[in-house]
Amino acid sequence: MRMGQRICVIGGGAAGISAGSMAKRTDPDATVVVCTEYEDVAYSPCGIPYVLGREIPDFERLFLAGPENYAEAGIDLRTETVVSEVDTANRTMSANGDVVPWDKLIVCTGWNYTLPEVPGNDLEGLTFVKNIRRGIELNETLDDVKKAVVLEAGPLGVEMLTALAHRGIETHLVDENAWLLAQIADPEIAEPVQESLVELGCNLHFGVGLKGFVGSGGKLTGVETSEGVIDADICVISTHKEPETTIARSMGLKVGSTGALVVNERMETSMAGVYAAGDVVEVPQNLTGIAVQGLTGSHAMQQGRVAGANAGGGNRRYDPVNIPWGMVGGQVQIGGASLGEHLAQSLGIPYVVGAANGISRARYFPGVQQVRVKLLAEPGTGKLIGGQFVGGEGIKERADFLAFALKRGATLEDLAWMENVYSPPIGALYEPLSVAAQNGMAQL
Amino acid sequence: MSAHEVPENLQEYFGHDKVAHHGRGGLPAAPPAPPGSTARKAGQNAVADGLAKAGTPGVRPGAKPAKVPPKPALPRRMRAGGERALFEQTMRRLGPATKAPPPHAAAGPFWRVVFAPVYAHIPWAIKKRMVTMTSGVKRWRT
Repeated sequence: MRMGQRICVIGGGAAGISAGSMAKRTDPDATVVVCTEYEDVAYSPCGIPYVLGREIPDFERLFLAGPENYAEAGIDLRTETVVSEVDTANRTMSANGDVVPWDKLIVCTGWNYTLPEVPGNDLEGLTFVKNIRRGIELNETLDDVKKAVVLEAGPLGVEMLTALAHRGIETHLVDENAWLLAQIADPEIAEPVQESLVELGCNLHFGVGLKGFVGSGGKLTGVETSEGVIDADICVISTHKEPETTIARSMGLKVGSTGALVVNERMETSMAGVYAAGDVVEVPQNLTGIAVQGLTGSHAMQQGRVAGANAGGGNRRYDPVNIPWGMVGGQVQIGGASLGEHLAQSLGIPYVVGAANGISRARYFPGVQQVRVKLLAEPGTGKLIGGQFVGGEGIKERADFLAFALKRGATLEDLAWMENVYSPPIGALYEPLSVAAQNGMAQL
Repeated sequence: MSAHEVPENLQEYFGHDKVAHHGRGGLPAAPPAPPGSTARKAGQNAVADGLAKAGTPGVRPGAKPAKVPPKPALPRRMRAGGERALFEQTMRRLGPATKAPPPHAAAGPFWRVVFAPVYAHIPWAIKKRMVTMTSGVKRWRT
């Protein structure tokens, strides 16, 4: 009888769970062990802000499966299990003190928020939205919160601004950038979201630096910025996703320019037989080849599937990314894929812009919403570089479509002559994406 | 109410709510996990535990998922410093069209005064070749 190999996964987030599941599916004879230091797996952490904001009635709905499902699938899932050491010479790891042998290892240790190195960063009241049980606890305390600061307007920051405003809390954003989501969005695309957040009652402070957290009796009372102190009962830290590489570094795995692990397209690290996936790895951006890290849950899940399949003996490859993104801020949807003008200009990539304001349904149909489209393309060839959208609806679908078009090397001309759905309740005669491409062609 | 004003309350307007307008109606959304399912049980356990612990002291996993990053190696320091200076430069250029304030100057003087202006003069084709040569993620299929 063939002895199955042992595949161990460190981490039980989107990457870890999908890696373990795919490894077992690819090699049913393998013993698959998944260790997570947390209590729960298979829930949606991305849903937490929406429960906090009372758009979703309860936390229970965020759970997709229970631990029993993994046992039934033949996966040895170990919750509240900390992997403290990995012995690469003997191929073992120490999990809650047990020595667990492995033939293949998949590192999915995820990320932490970057903790600002400023005075007061240990005060009670600094708040982190990531783990569901801590989210449940946070939810219980929010009714007593009168004033909150959100630090940095990344995607989670925008979602938390909306959530806290929904709860009637006086909410301030402190961000050193010049506009909302500045790392990914252009100012005129972010503007309607900013306006919507202001309408909700949020106070937005852009171009403002963090100097420290102030408190009394060990408890936060305010956030000190370059423009003075903002009183606050809590400060939601939504800073950069810092890859959690403690174990990986101790193993000697190669770390790249983002601080995340370097992997090849099979999601294999610099050490043979050791794979990695999710927010702990960096992957190339499709257009530029620049390493990027800290993407979305869907990226983590797909990377985990590739890592798991390859650890199980398969041969799958993960493609360079175009990073479709999207979210709701206030009452407005915003999204895009690949580079916007801010990033293209920062990198010095030549581009032309094609922009258009369109509508999401027939102009006479109830619920019709404006959709603003901005496309970037290579001068001369018209090959797409990226694009962004903002509007009332239909943003996610356009971002997904654009990412696929980018992957296939589409041009402005391809989009200008694209076919589109025309049906009054769901689509207008003129697709805004196509109109933007036509406008862009005039710039080539 | 005129015939052209469709109210939010579809039940009142149409006599039923099975109307696929406002993006609603049509196929029902997936319901929450059914009672007795493993997902429902996992959710109930988590909620019961979270509520029991709310407001009580104690160290719990995931309570402070934040870290001061380890001292970065040279490539990361260079990338972070350079990126910030380039972003600040571009924000100053693009921001005024929407009356955005200038960004907080967080990039060091070397990156702002020396690196960013020099980088801006290098053609993208050369910069892309440099990225390809120096990036840790090279030799991926594109």
